[in-house]
Amino acid sequence: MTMNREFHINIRRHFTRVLLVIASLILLSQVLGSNPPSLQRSRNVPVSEVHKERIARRIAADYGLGPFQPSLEMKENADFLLTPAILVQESLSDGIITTYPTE
Amino acid sequence: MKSKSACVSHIILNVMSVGCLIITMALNSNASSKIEPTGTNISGAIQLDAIIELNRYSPDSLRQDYTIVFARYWVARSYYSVAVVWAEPQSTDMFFAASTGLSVSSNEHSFNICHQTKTKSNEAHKKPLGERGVFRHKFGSYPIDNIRFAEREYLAERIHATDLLGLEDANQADGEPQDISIPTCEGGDERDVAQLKIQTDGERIDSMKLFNSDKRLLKDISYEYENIKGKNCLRKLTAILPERPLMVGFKGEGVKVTLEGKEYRYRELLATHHVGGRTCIVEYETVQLGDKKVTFPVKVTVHNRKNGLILRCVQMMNFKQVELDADGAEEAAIQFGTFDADYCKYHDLREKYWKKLPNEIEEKDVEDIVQLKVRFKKALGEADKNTGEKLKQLNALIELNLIVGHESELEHHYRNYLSTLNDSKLTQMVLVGGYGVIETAMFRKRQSEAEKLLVLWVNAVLEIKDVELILFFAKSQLAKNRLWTTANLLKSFSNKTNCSADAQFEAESLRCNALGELYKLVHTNDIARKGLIAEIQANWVASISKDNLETMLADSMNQARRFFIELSEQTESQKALKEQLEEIEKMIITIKQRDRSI
Repeated sequence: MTMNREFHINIRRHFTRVLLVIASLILLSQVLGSNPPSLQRSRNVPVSEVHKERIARRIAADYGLGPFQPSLEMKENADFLLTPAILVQESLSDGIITTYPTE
Repeated sequence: MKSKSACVSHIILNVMSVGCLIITMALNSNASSKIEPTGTNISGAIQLDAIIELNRYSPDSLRQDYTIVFARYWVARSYYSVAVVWAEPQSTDMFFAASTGLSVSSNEHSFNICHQTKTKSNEAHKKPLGERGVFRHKFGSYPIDNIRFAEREYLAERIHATDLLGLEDANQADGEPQDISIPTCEGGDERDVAQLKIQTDGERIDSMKLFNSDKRLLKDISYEYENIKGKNCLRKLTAILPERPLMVGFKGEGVKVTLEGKEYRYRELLATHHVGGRTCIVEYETVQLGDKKVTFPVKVTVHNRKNGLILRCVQMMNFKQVELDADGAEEAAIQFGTFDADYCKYHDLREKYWKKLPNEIEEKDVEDIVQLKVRFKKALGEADKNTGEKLKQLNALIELNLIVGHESELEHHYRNYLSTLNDSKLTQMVLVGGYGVIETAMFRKRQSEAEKLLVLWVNAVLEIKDVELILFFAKSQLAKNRLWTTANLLKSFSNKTNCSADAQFEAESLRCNALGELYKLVHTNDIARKGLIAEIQANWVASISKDNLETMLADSMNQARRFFIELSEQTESQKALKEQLEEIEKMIITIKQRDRSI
């Protein structure tokens, strides 16, 4: 009998907690809603010309730079043909500090 | 009186100049003898051979292309020449901006490009070479004469011993890295390095960072030495090259972007060169040249710093001193790189009888082919041939025997080709180049020869101990639609007794994938859309074992499932492979149902 009462009290306490959490979530979703205040504010702020240009440049880069990469790789490979000559040339001179060429 | 005072002032000026010169020379010699690493003054030129390995990966790193360039160099302090003698594989897989027959020479006055057949780039570029300017090449193109800018860029970043005259003794500087400013001009040429940060122990540089005038890091170099009889001998150089900005340019009106009704147009944009950064490792060895010991670079490996993949590598060997001036070195390079009359004749015959059967060859050409074979075989036997030259002769012999259909000789030279690659430790080319010959035979519609070569190739590959290399190659081949040849290779591979259960399962799963894809190609009208290579492979399997394909696939599927069960621990990737097997099974059922309904 005592155990049953304790069980009911526990259920009631947990039930209240669950209700509180649900209420908080509903309230939060209402506050944020589908139009978050911060975003709404940013929509009204005019985007500066400098910022627009930056966005446009980034779009152009994302769209246009891809085809250059295979040629840049080929440049590295072709320029690498000179690397042995340059490194050996360094080995033949005591006036040059040994470094590495950039392909 | 006037003339007397003028004479005295003239003498004083001369004495001062000579004094300055002596002091500068003393300082220079002090710097050069004091700080390492520098080279050893050698008169004349050094001849050496190089094997350059180049890798190209797809963005997902699943597909790899691999090319080897064989070159000979003649190098002196103020000039050098290079000749490309050969490149592998001789198939559609080869990628390189320069091909066999190219020679490049650089001296104090000019940078010269010479190619026997591709004469468009042949030119003597006068020095100073000028700037590279905006990079305008796309889709893998890169005109070979552009490599002259690589030399100019190196010279602009070169560090002289005299640049380090301000370097304090390590003890005085408390072992802290020291900053050195570099004059921005050298003999009228602009220098890209403005600042150095150097860590030394007084006698040798341990690390050195190079910065440009915008304080952007150009290179971060560290050095490792071996102390031999009190002398610091350079053994390893590690250069880290960070990503660097590079201006690229579009042809025509450039890229147009419309944003909120406004149009923005870009003809030039800043791209990133060396995406992921580069780690370049140079290994050095000391070589005895006459009475002098010289430390030479013997191996260079360049990795992508971000993902660790090897991008390129060069091995340098056969160093010897030769008495050649700049003109002599250039002449030697042109002669070495140029195809001789026999090779030109062979090349013409190869073009003439492409996709022709042996009985279609004119009688006089049969005689020529016999003579050429004799001469190539004789040249192959000459002792002084390097690996590139040998492979060049062997390729010619393989092709000539393929033209005339001399199968036993073809097999003999193909075996020799594979063992030459293996002996030179070019294991990956046994896979790539060995396959390339088979594909050439298939392109020539010589299936009987291709089948025999396939058996020899699979046997040679089974000798390779690097299991991961073979599996990676197989995946890359499947991505290129080389299905039937890869299925054959994997069949033998998964039966290898000394393979781990993981490798056996992966190999058999990949084989299932290959056979499943072939099944789809053979049973649908999808072949032409998949490209020429897929078409060749599908036609090959269709002509010999179309009826058996389903049985082979079922056997492979059962085998793969058995290997899966035998795995001690199943990884996520292995589970994913297992799921692919189920997909293949579903695909076969769908095709069968469709065929029945038709």
